[in-house]
Amino acid sequence: MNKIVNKYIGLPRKDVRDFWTIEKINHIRRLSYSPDDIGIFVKNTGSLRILDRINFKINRHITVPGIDTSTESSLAGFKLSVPVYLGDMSYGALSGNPNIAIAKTAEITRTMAGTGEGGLYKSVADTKRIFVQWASARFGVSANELKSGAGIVIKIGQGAKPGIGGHLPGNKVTHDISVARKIPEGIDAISPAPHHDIYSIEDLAQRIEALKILSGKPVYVKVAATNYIPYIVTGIARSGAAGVIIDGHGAGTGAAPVTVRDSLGIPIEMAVASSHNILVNEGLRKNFSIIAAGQVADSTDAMKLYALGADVVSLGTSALIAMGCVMVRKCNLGYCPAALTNKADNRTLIDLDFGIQNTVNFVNGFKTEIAKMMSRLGIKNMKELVGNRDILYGEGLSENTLKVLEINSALPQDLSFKQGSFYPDKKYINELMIKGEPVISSMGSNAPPDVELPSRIIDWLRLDGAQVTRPSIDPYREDINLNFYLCGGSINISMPVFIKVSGADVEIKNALSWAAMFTGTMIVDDQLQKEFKSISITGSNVYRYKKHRYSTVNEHDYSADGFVIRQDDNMEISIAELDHELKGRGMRENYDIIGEIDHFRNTGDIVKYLALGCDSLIISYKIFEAGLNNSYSNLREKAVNFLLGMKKEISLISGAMGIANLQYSIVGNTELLRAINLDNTIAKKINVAEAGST
Amino acid sequence: MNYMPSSCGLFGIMRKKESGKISGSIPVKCLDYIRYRGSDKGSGYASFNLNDTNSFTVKIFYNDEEEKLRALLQEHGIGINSSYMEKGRSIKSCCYDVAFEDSRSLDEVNAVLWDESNGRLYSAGKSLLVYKGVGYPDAVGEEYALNEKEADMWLAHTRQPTNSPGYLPYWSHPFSTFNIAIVHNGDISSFGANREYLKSKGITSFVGTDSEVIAHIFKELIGEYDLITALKIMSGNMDDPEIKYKTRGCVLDGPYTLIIGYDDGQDIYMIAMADRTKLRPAILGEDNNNIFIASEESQIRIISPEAKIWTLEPGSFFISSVKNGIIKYGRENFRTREKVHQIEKQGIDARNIEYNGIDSEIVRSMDNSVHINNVAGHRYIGITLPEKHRNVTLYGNAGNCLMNLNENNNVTVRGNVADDCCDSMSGGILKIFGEAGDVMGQALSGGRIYVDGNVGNRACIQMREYGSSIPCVVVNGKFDDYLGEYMAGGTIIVLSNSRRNFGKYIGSGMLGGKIFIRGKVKSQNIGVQPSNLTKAGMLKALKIAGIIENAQYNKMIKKNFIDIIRELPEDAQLYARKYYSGHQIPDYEYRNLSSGEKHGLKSIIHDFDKEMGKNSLKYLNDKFTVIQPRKI
Repeated sequence: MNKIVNKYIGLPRKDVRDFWTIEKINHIRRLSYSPDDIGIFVKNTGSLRILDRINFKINRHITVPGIDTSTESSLAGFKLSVPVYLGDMSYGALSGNPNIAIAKTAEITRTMAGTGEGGLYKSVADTKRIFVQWASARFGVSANELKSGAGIVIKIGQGAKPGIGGHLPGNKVTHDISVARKIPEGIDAISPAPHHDIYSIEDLAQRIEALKILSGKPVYVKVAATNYIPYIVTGIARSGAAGVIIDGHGAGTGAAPVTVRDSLGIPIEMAVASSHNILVNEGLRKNFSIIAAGQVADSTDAMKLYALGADVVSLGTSALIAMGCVMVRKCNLGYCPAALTNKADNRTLIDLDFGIQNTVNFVNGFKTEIAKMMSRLGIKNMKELVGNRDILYGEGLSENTLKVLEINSALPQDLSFKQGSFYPDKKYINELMIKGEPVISSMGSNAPPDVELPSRIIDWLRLDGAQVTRPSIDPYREDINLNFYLCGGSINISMPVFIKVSGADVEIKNALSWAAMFTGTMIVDDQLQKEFKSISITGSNVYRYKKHRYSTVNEHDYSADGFVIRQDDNMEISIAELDHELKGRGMRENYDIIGEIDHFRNTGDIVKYLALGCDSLIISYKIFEAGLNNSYSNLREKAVNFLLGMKKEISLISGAMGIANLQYSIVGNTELLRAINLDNTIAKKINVAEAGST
Repeated sequence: MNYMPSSCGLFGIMRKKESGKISGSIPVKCLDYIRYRGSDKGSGYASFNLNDTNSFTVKIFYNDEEEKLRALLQEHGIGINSSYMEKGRSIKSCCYDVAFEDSRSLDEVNAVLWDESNGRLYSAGKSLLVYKGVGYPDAVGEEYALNEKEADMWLAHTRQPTNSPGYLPYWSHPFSTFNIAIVHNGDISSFGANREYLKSKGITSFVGTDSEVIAHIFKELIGEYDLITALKIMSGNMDDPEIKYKTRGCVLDGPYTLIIGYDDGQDIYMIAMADRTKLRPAILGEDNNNIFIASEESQIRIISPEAKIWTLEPGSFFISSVKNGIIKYGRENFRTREKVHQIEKQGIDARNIEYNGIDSEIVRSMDNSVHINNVAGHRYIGITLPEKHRNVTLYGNAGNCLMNLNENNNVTVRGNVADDCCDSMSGGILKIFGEAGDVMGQALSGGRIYVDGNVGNRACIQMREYGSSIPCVVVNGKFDDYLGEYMAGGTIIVLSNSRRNFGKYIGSGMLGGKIFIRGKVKSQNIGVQPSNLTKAGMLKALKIAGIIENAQYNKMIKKNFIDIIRELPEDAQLYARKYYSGHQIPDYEYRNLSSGEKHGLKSIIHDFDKEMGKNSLKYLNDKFTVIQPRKI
């Protein structure tokens, strides 16, 4: 017997900061009940998200009730009633009826829908306003399918997990899924991290040309917003694509490794502004569409993105919320209470009419809101709106940030990097030690500085994701080398992490020491360990390995073999300055810089410290202890899981950045970092460029 | 200046010792043939000529009054003997024969020019002259009248830049430092780390491209180490821990194929290098007169149809010199690529057909069977007719993306096939009588591919079964890395004896289907196994914990991980399994085929023999390495 879901369920209480606040969800729900219940020029006071710090110059004296505004636009030869793209959620990520509801909504509201990489589910194939996807796993593709939509999307990357492939476990590959994807039933469906025919821009151009010849349809390219996004977008424009879908940090997903989701990628507003600017400067902007995706929560967000240069905005999560998503973040587990992302076995279904009606109402309400705001701003049509920075001003944005946004009418302001206190994510650490695998979650990121309050400098930094110009690497199936050589070559560890066990209870110490050996790394202890390979700390805070010595004092003792920098508020700056100092003296290659930390948000932090200039990190047993939740059973297995889980996560990030050998590529490579509205004085000290800068 | 990626095509040619110099028209022609890989935004050439003089030539793009430039050079201890100008549509270049003490002064001059936005010193050397500009390869060749010049070695490069500096000649390739020129295709993920290393060596002025940084890294290394060691370091193949540690900022990571031209004062070298998984194409060749490096086979074939051609092995390098010929082939025990089979037959002549225009000719022909002669790198053949039932025979070398999405066609290639053939093919047959490039048969879900020669990297990646459709691939030669990666169904049969050198990481991520390789495959080449460091740590820890005995430890430490996991006791497996939870290590057996397997393979091999004119059934009695998914 099927269970049918045909009404909204109650919203759970939230005890952590979430981008999708109750207010945002309720706004969408109200629109879905009644498209006239609107909210325009919404302010998210106190938010550190850059987009929330951009506001409109509303001239109170102009009330233009009579102004004739049109929200119409066009995409792939279709007229859009409002520039909205409902994308790109696959059949498999969603359970079937939601896919149909989205495709039908596009028809009814005269917008466009993207099908994701799962092939076409039943009546979706009969709709006309869809973009079909050519993705790395080729799920569901055939010549016929590729010709059946309004356009083709080459999916290179997504904002929720730049550089990471997909994985649908075998038990979710039901008969219906296997038919739509043209894959064997019951076997894991894996999407490789890169397209194995696209390792460069000329390869991308080749695939675009091939798909155009095949289908006669316009071809779009979907990429994540990453460090080189302006260059990637010009590369795409020169390659004959009709447009780009840029997916920003924080975009929704059915499943993503938490560390990648939170540590990689830049905000959509920065990516859109810089891509628009570079295309204009290169004379490539005409007849090329920018579709902005990721954390577009309401029409106010959309208006700002249009004004920054987006032709179309993509609504994904908000469309799901219109259909009843309550943001419990369990998509990856297959039992969505709203029957949206559950396993596609037809046991629990969302009522199709309920889904269509709500989404249609939501999109129509969204359109009404856009029209009202345009009217208030005295803007007649989309052409006047897209890229119109004159209607924007910024508050609390740094000089570098304003430069990327090209918002001139604002005084730059640097915010203090410490906006809150640090709280360890015990749940994450616990899951790491229980499973020994990367921690997976679903829906968008709540990482600082956008949502959670930043408390450290690295909270304002993000890592790069490789795409188009170089491929990302699948760490599960391909060889990624995390071995680090240190101390003149006399230390070789299997990952850039030592475990400091001094001060730990003997059981924890024993478990971590054994796990360190098992995983091929080393411990740091205040006693000389006989059984386990270790660095020992002697009385005067000197770290020793055999005849080698690391200095912990601040005066630079160049007779040592390296330096240990301990965690404090200025750790990032200390690392960068020491790295700079040693390079200036032409002797960087003779020394190790080791960072020592007793807390981290997740393994992404470790990679960020490396990029700032650390050769390796010492992490305290306290991080492990915090995740134990006072449960001291199976310590040895938990310790192995903890270290191996970390290693796998570091490997994931390395692969996502397109790095095959981490040591060679990462140490001091601040090119792989970008700052998100970080205090410019600090950004300069640590030599990190602003997100979206060229 | 930030780093700016771009895309491109390459060419390199060097004369053999007894041969005459090479006209500049040759590199122009061979580069222009693949102009679709680049754009009108930038092309360039470098020539090297053996000589015994003690003077050097520097070339500088300069926007200001020349007197200022002369003063600047003199200020930095560079004496000018003579000078000439090169002026063209896109360039204005001051060229000087000079003398100086230390080549570092050139870097200093460049730093000043760059800071003042006045220009760039882009060519310096005893025998090296760089010619680069803005335009397609033929236009830049004409600008410098390269057809009137000749050299012992030429490098050539065309590019598709991502942003506007491409309009200026500075960003065109080759990039050079003293006596070194580099052309490169790829995107170095270690770029920032490499640049930081150079900064610590006092080199601070960069325009922001890979090639420039690589040229400087090579120069630094060659100053300290011999050529082979320098290349080993750059390619990440250095074993010595101390050198490895010292040079950790000098290793290149990310996808690249590069050609290095280098004059060591005695001899001139042409070097090709590919990243460890050879993500960019690198075709090598030689004939009686010359040695070649190219992005596509057709670039060599158009000037030397009978040339011996092979591909660079992933992660390796090729070295040749004017005085010594080929020093390192860049591939072990190789068989060269089939030359074009030119069969006199009535058919369509591809010589005057655009690189993407073969399909319309096939469609135009009303015949069910179509013959096409002189195919030379043509792309996307068959992409508009997947559901048709045509018999197509191609004579020559098919370019990238042959028979993508094919459903019913039967295609024969009398020659070699480039990369990405049969992507997403669900039916039909492709018969290749030469070799296949990288990523052959990606996501193949039906039909058959028969290859007489070798296949490149990642053959049959993501091959899968669907419904009653079971795809099948037979390879008579050998394969490079990642054969059958992510495979989820179907059958791969490799008939050549595995004593020959085979690729690594076979069947990594395998979820379904079977791979049969004749003979015994080295077990370290199956799947992606943990490093020796990790393996040793694991065994040592298991020993300390009393989970394995001393004797077991001593036995296992010599074995490969894949063989150890068979022998581990259950409680040790609990831990070891964590290393292959991603299906990265498939299962394997070396054995005689079962009667069921023999029966299944017999019909496939029978068909293969019939279609390819072979006699392979006898091999079914040999022992095979059978690789299939591991149950976890």
